[in-house]
Amino acid sequence: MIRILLFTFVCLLKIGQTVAQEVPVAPVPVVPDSAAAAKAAEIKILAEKMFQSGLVQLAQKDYRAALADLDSAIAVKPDFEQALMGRATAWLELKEVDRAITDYDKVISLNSAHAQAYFQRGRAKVLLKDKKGAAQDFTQTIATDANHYQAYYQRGGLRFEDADYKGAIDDFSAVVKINPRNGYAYHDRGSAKRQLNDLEGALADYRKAVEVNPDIAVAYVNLGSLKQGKGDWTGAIEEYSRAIERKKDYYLAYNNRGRAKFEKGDFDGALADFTKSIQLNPQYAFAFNNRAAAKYKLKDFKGAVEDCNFALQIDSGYGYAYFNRGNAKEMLRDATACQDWEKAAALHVPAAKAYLTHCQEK
Amino acid sequence: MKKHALLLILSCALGQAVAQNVDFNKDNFKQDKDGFREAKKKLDAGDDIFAATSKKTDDSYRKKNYRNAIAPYVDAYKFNPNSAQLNYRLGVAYLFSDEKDKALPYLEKALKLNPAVDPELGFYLGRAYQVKLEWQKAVTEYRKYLATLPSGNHKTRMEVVNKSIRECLSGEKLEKKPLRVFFDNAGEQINSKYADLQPVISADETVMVFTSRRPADQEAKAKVDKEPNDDVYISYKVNGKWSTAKQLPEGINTEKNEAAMALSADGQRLIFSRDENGGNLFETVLKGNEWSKPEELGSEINTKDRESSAAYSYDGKTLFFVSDRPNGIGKGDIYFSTLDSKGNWGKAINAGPKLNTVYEEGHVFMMPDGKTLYFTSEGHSSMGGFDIFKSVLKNGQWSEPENVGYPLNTPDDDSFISLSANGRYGYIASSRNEGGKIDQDIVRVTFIGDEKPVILSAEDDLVAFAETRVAQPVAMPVIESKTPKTILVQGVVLDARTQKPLEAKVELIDNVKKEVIATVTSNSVTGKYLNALPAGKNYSVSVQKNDFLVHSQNFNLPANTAFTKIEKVVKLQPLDAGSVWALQNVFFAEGQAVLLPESMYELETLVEVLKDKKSLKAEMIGYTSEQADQLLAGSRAKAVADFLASRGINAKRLSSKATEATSTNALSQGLVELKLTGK
Repeated sequence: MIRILLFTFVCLLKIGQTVAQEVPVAPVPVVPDSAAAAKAAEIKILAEKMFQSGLVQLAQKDYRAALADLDSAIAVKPDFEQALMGRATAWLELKEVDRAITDYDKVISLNSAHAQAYFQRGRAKVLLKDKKGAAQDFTQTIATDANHYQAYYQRGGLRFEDADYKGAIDDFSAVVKINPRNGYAYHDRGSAKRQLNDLEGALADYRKAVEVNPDIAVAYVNLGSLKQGKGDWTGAIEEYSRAIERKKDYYLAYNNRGRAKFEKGDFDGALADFTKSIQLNPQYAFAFNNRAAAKYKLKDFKGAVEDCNFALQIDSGYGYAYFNRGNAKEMLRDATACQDWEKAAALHVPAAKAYLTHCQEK
Repeated sequence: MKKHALLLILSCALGQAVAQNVDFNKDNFKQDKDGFREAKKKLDAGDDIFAATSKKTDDSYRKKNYRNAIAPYVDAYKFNPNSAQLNYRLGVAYLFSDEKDKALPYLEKALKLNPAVDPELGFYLGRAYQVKLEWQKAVTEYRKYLATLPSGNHKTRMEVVNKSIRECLSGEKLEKKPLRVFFDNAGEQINSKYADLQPVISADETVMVFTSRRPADQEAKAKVDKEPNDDVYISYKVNGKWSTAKQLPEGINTEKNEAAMALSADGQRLIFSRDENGGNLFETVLKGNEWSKPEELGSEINTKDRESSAAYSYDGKTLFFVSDRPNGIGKGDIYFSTLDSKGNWGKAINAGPKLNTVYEEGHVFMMPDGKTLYFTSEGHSSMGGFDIFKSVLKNGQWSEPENVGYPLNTPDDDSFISLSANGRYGYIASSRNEGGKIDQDIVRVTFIGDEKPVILSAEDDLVAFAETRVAQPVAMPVIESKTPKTILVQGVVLDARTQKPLEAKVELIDNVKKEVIATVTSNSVTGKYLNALPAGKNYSVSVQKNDFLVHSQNFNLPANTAFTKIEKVVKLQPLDAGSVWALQNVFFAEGQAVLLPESMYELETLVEVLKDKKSLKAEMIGYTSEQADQLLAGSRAKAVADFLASRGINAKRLSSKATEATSTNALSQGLVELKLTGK
């Protein structure tokens, strides 16, 4: 996140006009006296010099050195908004989020119309999990700059997280109105529609997302999941494969494709995908549980028990893994299957209760 | 030119076949004349058996005799494995034995050596593929064989082949959706190295009676030339393990063949067959530790033809059995007979074309739910030989018999099953043996139901903004445990004073119909009683013995209740002053002192006891809780006393009162008890 902030900042600085538009420079006070004017010019030059040096350090990721230069620039010129913005970026990189926010506060106090300062402060607040404060800053960004689509996007994301899907859709719609090539906004709006059970709307947005940006791997995963929801397992597999093509280490996509293959009865294929998912993320309990399911169907009951054991080592409250282990143990005629079903039932897996009928019998 | 080419090809092909086939001809074994002589002797011995057996069309005869040709043929085969005829005959002999799966390689080799070795080769090859579950190959061979049959007088043979084709198609379907079962050999306490067959078990799976061909004693073992008789053996399950099987006593077992046929739910009534008069059914009853002298079932059941299987209904009032008597639908048909008012079996009635086929029906087993009949048949949708089927009686009609499925059923004969009341376990006789035993063993089958679905987890990243993952919907179908809708009521009856087991009459009463639906007797040595019956009725159990108070208890289980086991130790109190009879099957209208009709059976029993024991006085005590209405409890006690008076009991012998239930009799709240107050 901090890297993104830095990148954004440096980009904005490099593109002079953009910076001029989005980060207005505070007006230099007019000093009638010519000596005073000369002094002011000298201070400005000195501050500018330190500021430029700080930027170079930022670009070189030497944040401590950047801080020293920017501190100097700000010491010479305390109302130097760009230097304050730069220093906030350095603080963020050093995970000193509170100090970054202090600098953004300072910028805003100097210039209450500084949209980018509101925006960056909002993002810093996101890091502090201050969602409410962040949302207020994004709202203020938008109030200051009605075309700040990034603020709409960030606020939409926060609304999504708060399950305000309608609000999220409004924000993502605003993004694509301002920037019709923003594939992520289409994608996220699709997910908000999906949460409101508007599956056709979601499908259209996911499709639009990959149309404007074919590299959004997550969009293919969600397209796959929508197809899977319609029972189109073949279509789902194709979409998951596209996601994997674009993101080779996408363990979630491998897991989902494995599940789709499982549902199609391709248990060997499913097994291979779950194994790949585990290789990419050895802490992914879902893939262990699912591989156990594939092994169960392939009658490798011992292997299924082992994989459930791994899943339960990662997540001891994983009811499905207990349930599946019980099923595999039943086939191994291991009486502790009943204990697993009992545990699964206690972990809210209702199907397990039905299997306890014969557990008392010898 | 073409003609010459064809002849050349034919002679080459023939020459090749002839070159591979090596007949048992001394000219072919000039270098080993002694070996040939020995091998030929074996071959001739096998051929004699084979030829004699081939003349018979009776399958049971063939099964018994073809197998005897195997040993000499195997010896001959060691000398010359390339005789088409020997391969063919050895394959056929195996097909009629309990080692059917050995037949295929011989028949395939016979085909390779000489396709024309025998006109029946194609049929038996089809059969061998069928045994190996190679359904389509079997069908192909059967069809090729059909094409070789000349039109005209082969209608019967064609029907046999067409039936085999139908069996293969049925088997192919059944194999695709196998029954999920575990097979476990019943163990060395039950099985011997001889044939062990036809297990029947009690409803709680604690008693097993079966047939065994093992020699009974050393003397019999010494008679090597004589095959031992079939006798009936018994074993008890103690602490989950079967005891060493013991032969049932003389009187039941004789020099003739006896075979176990049916065991009552409580394991105290046994029907067995004896090869008398074509095969008749006998019944013996366990009294304490002694089995009674067997009685031949009546003339409605036994005929001069073979009666070969039997099953009691849950109430013991209907007998299902199999008989070869004439005018049936097929060779062996299922019949049933009900007890008349004098306790005799009534007219045997053919169970009809829904169950019986033109083929043979073999064995019957009735579940205690009162409606599910298991039986074996060569007809219906058999996958070969006898298969086990299930049919359910609904509104007086039997449902379409359903093949219980592979691998319980196989292309071989699967001709017997006995199930526990919970439907979870069954016993069969099977050749699924380990250790190379050829004869059948008794095998326990555990039914584990349909495959339990596994549950997979998947999730989606919903927004690119942050890690917002949601789990995908999970399919979680539940495979219901298909237990029979039966109740198992069991326990022991004890003398409350001495704690010794008592032989008592245990009646199961339908409270709504006010009639006894089943009566069993607790065993005098163990006190054990058991009955298995359908769920869905308001039952009471009444335990009675002379000079003891009647014990009664009510069970009301809804019709959709899964298998339920109720265990109850009944301690009968002697008819003495101070004894208390909890009238648990006396019911009142809600909040009123009005007796409900369901109470009548128990009240009438009470009347009988008081009429019989005129010296006794009875006090009715209506129990109430602290908060409840004392008046209602007193009125209910009085209602019982009034009823008894109305039925001729002197009112001076009767009194009633209400009392508060204490911690020791808290369960009596709302009930009425009868206390004997003096003689």
